[in-house]
Amino acid sequence: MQNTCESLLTESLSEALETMAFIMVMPPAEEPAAPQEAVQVTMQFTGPKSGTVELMAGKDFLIAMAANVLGVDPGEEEAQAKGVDAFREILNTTCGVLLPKLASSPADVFNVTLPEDESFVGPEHWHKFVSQEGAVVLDADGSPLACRLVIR
Amino acid sequence: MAYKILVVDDSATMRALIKRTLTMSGLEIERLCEAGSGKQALDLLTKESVDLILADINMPEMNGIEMAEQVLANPATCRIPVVVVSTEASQTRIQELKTIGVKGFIHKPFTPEQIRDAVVEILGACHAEHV
Repeated sequence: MQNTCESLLTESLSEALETMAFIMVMPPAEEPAAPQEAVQVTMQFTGPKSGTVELMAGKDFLIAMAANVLGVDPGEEEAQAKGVDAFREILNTTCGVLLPKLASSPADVFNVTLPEDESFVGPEHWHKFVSQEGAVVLDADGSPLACRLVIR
Repeated sequence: MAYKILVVDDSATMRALIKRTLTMSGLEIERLCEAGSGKQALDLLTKESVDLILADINMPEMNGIEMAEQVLANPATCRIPVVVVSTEASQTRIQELKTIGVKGFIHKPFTPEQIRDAVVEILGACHAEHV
């Protein structure tokens, strides 16, 4: 079950990132270095199944992702300002792709919370996140990206 | 005909993405307005007239379903087509949206082509209805 959850989440996150931000994700060839400044975004869902989806990545990746989504240069102020917002939207979209895969029928209705974000300085939060059961670390165009699905 | 379109989404990134997509779509756009919640959209509609509303569902203050219900119940705005741009995938909820009069549904993640094609189709159909 855990492996199924991990692969469903990874597939959903890949689809969201590839479609919205033109970013490919794959398993890392080696353990990536922990980002010094990281952001975690979290959404909860209730319905036929209830749980939480969490993503964590470094701030540099968020800016690069926002730049891709917005079609601007990563150095532009708009990309710098919208990194966290873009990450929240990628989580929202990931949940939108994931939840129908957890449903038993297309008629199933899920309620979701708004995405919440939290910023961290120092690598310990990254290490703590990725050491949790169900956490998956991915290589997103050369940057570390971690995700986790918890079903209650 | 140049169109005035209102984009309603709590994500500034998503509003910017949709606006950029529409600007690049080849559609004649007179004005692109934006709102960060259903409540802000309703406030804006008391001052501005628009030809189409593209709205997310999951937003703070007032969600997109409540906003669509109020827009479509108000004689001053009930002719404005409302298109939902959301991650929502439940057939039950999509049917509820159709029942209240929502004209279209664009599922996130969308490609620029998907949003352009849906907007062109809905604006074309609504224009034909009113001619």
